[in-house]
Amino acid sequence: MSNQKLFFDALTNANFPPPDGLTETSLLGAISSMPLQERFNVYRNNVFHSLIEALKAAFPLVEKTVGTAGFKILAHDFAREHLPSNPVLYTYGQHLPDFLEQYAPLSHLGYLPDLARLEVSISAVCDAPDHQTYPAQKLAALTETEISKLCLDFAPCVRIQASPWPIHMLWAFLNDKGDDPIMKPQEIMVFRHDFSPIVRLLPPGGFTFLEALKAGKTLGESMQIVEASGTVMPPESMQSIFNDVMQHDLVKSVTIKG
Amino acid sequence: MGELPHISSGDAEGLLNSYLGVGYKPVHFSELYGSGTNKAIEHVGWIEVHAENYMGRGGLLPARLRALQETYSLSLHGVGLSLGSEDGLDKEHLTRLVELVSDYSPFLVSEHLAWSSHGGRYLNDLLPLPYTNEVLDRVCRHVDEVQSALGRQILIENPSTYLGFDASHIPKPTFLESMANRTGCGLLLDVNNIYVSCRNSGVNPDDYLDDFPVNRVVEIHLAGYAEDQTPEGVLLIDNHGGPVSPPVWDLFHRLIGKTGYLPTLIEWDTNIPDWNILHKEVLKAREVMSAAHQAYSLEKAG
Amino acid sequence: MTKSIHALSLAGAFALSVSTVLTMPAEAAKKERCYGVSLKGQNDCQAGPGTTCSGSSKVDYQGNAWTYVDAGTCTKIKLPAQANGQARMGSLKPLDRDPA
Repeated sequence: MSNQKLFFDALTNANFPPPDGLTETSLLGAISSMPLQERFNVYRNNVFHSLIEALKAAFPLVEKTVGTAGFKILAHDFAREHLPSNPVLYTYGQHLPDFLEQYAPLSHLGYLPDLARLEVSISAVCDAPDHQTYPAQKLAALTETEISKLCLDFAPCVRIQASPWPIHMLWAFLNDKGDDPIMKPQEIMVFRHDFSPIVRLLPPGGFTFLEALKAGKTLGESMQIVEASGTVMPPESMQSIFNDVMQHDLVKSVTIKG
Repeated sequence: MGELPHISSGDAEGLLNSYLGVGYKPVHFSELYGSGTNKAIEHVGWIEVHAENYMGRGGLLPARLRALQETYSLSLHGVGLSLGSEDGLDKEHLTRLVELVSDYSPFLVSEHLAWSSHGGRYLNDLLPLPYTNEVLDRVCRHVDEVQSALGRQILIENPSTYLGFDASHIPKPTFLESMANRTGCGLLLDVNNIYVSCRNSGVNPDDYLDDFPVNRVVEIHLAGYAEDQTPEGVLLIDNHGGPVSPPVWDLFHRLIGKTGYLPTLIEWDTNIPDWNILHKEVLKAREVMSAAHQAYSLEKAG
Repeated sequence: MTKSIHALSLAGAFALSVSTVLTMPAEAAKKERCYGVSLKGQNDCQAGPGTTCSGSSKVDYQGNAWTYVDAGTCTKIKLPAQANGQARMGSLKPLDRDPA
């Protein structure tokens, strides 16, 4: 077994002693009063402390919900099970929502996984690669038929989420911007405008419509999918979605399906 | 090699300032950017960021970094390449670094003599290596690989250590010198790390510095440490969470007396203070570097 | 009939959004806003999680039992245990935890 495998295993298992072959002193070293275990613990602590800090930075609303001490336990439990797969830590924590689905100590907070999903989306839209603005002039002269055959290629800074929980109300409440959430399903679109994340409540049918568009369906096809789902989407609803898409630069390119 | 773009400013004051850098934290953006006046903050010539925090990223942070690049030179400091890894280099991560360096054209690129990944999992810490021929061969192979992928020299930093290995048989300064000679890499000497590691392993830091291949040093780091008190004794922790300590300033003075001016960075990564407190550390570094450089010049002339 | 009205309203809504964005004035002081100097508050994109090359002086990876922790804001949110109203199994019970 490799030396680093032994070191790795001892570091990530709290009950393992330090591996053999370690010493308190380096070559030429003389004095040492600190036991090896204490020294090894510095590395173990560095790893988990830094990962807990990373998760705190990415999930401030989950932390606010469960409290500082609770979040630390949650984050530590998560980090031990899901060490980062690469050093690009600003993306760390994407598996936290699924982890929360199975996490018994917080199972009484049924909305928590969806709240964590919202925070994953907020980070993702904030850090999404920049894209070129699509010139709206190119869309000014389209005919009605052309519009219905339009496919929109969304920029990476747009995410959508459908929740059985009042996810938008939870978000507003936890940001001290709204009343107590009441039970109802909500759908949201999260996107970046300039350099701020915006969490927008979608009108009924909005999620289905955007989901179809993001899957490459045309505007007309997406509309039919909404209708088939039994939802009526009035023009004002569509307009509010299109306004966000156009005004906040959420489209990279468009094609007209021939 | 580390060329400082601001070095052309001619006068001695400007020359000295061009060597002084700070580890850039997003909370200090407004002060460094100076409300868009493009005027460098007093006595700061360059900034350094962790490469990983900008890889493949869009949005606010990279936009701000590019804005600062109008005024300051940029150094990219990697923490995740795991150069000492038994697994070999993570090719995907190396590609990310190549793209980042190509996007930002930093004046310095550095990494650590450490490992942090195993079996596809990343431990966010700089883990220690035994100083053996086998490890030297492995690290040199990886440094070669990185330098040829980047098409430029990288600098390798000595991390703080809290324990050693029975298997180590090469003194660390010798190990670093061999690595630099074999690969042509430069060294990033973290003076605080020398002090912390020496104190933790019972070595005299002055002796260690005297053994250090200072002619290979291209960049210097300075930071504060914490003392971890336990019933058994004290362990110094390289936490970058306070001002540089007096014995580390003394070591820095001793180092500049041997090398003359070198790009020197103040790192302060935890308990991040207000800008003016961080700036005081820059001014202190300036003062010590200036005094030590005079001694260096005199010795050279004599 | 219904279909064509919907198609019409779809195209109309889209065209109206396009024309609205085209008549919007060019944004002033774009650069300052780009660098976020004027941004304040919770709604900004934060630096988020980052890497470290420094150690931690605080030993805080030890696990604590869930029974002893502060509840944060969760007790203030009055929502059922599950979206469908059914209670879920295993609420707020401490896990068997190793000492570190």
